[in-house]
Amino acid sequence: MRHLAGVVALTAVLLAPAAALSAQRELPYTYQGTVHAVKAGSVDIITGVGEALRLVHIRTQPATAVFGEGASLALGDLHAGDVVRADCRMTATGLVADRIELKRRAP
Amino acid sequence: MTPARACAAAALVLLAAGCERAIKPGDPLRDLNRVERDRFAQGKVLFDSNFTPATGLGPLFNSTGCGECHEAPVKGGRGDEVEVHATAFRNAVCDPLVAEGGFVIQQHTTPALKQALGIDSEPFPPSATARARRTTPVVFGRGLLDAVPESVILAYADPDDKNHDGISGRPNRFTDGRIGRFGRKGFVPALDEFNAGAFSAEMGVTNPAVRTEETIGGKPIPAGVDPTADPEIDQGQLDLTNAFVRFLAVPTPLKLDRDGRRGRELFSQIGCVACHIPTLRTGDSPIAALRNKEFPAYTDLLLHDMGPDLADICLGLATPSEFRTEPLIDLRDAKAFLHDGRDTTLEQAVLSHGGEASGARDRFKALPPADRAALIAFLKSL
Repeated sequence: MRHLAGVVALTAVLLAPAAALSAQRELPYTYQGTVHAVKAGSVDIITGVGEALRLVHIRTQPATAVFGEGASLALGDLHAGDVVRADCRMTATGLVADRIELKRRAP
Repeated sequence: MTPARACAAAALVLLAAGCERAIKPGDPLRDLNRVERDRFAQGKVLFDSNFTPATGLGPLFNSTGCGECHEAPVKGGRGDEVEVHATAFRNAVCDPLVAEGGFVIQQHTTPALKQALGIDSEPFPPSATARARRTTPVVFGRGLLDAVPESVILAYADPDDKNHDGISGRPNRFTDGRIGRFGRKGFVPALDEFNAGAFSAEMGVTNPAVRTEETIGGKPIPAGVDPTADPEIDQGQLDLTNAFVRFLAVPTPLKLDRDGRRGRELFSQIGCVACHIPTLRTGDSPIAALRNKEFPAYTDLLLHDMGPDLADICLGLATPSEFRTEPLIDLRDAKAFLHDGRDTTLEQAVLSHGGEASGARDRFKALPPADRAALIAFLKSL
């Protein structure tokens, strides 16, 4: 499990640069990290490798499914320090989340 | 086989075991195969190489190469450099200040960055609630620590102190929720990730695992300041560096005299071993030299509250006063002790322990001088 999660985290970082991405292709990205901030229509997640941490800005849409703890959640139910997994697409205007799952509540 | 021959064979086996060459600081693990030994040697060259701005250094950095800090008594050892970390702890949640450049505050800049922004180091994050000093630890035995199964770490955890011994270790967790084990706060889950992150955070060298440079206090790097194409090292270089660090052995503890043996007993009797677990065992590994090996670790890889006097930054789940039990490896070569190097003798370091370690510290203080000296003699054998 630890290795699987590691692969997921590393893959997310490996796939991060999107400079050459064409607007027509919305590539899937998965990030698992700690919520840094939740604003209306977006969430910032702390990811990274070792002590090199990076902030990932993800926009949400009305159709974005947010869930966890066995129930559907609102984006506003997420708080700084929560660990989430976000399944996203890279669009011409940045990352958009299709699905955000709460994995672990902040202490 | 005749009884005489059997005795002779047994004597030879015992002699061979007794004469096994001691592992010195910087030596590779025993039982590496030829390919692994070659990779260890090649990785050591990379570990000891220095980067320049033309080969990827910076624009922010703490050092020009791994071996510039991890250098004493040999490559992979300690260093006298002390770096600065900073985080913010608010409402019981730790902010590693990624939006302000991250928690590792780089102390140097390349000439191009200095020319562009007029700064000699990364700006200290204005939102920080605490600053920490961090000395350079040895990396001996880190491959073995990496190979300890999580189940072993969790078996030592007792977050609610259900056994009422005053010790309540718990694991830290990385940003993605995985159990951490590396770094003074036990934040980083895996050795190869720690190394890849260190290339970026310590040297400003991007690599296949960390493809983007850190920001300058949260602001983008000025155009033209970092012309080297990312990633600045390739996967092969990263893998070889990982091989060197992974294959570094734990130096064989020195042979104990009578005082040392007494000190080892006292180390256990007064309760130091509640956190500094003397030996850990690795699990399965594709590397035979790391597979199912018991080794002297003197850590449980868990967080413990060390009291307000040692407290500095939070990180992950670790509160300001929680630190991962430091592995007691190559203490014989240490000149400064504890996470920030505040103490210059082992005795001072023991006496600086607080929080969950207060009981063991007080029992140490209560020992007769000869017993205290014996315990210190034992620690100096590690």
